Amino acid sequence: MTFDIRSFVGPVSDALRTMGGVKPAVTAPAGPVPIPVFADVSSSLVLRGVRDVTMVLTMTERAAVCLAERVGLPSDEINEAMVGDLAGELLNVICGSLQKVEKFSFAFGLPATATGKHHEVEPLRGGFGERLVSRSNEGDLELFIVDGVA
Amino acid sequence: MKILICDDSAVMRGIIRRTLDQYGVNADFELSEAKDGQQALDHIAKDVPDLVFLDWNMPNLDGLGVVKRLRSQGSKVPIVMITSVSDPERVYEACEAGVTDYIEKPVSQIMLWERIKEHTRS
Repeated sequence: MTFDIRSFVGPVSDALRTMGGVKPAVTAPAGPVPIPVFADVSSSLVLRGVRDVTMVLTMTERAAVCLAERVGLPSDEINEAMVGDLAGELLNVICGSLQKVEKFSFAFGLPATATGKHHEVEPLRGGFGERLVSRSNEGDLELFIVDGVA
Repeated sequence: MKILICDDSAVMRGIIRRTLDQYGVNADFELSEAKDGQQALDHIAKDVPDLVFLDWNMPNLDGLGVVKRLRSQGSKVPIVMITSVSDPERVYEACEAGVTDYIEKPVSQIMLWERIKEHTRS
């Protein structure tokens, strides 16, 4: 049975576009994840199936705040805990879009989130996968689709 | 048509609302929100929605409690429970209490939209 994480790119991009309001681009063909990766807000989630896949969402602080505003969160209530929660829930919804992808079913883990200015994103230490990037004046957002559990 | 979103997480309420907006639901539906179970009951008592999206784990009366109260009052409002709880016994408990449908997280936009189409058909 063959399995190609590139099949995730389409539905994940669509979900990011509709939910996150960003237009991500695949920066390069699937390859080694460039490490280390730093972010202000990050979340990761493992999908377990015939093959395991790790999904990791990273954002700059500006991207996280813009995203929070985009989903209608009151500006005066946006704080570090809330953007961490948002990163986790957004990743959940993005992964939800994969339920109809491929012929494999996945067991979804719970998202793990991290906040902190310029923290190193631990789940991305090593790994091989796809990288979707959105860079704009509303901050940087990246989504990594990594083959295996990092 | 009126949809009530009940979840103690402002983030989750916002994500569901944005999801519905993306499908153009906002144009045809009136979306309301409740932050806990009691607030949900108060809202429904004043203005009965056509569909309720309900989280299980909420303060001040959880989702299951909301369902039981509504059904004991004779309410037939369609209720779709959204939760990360995957225990089959709890799913059974929710169905026995009168939940109309059940979505396990992670939810997808398509799943939400399909539930709306399914449960708001006239």
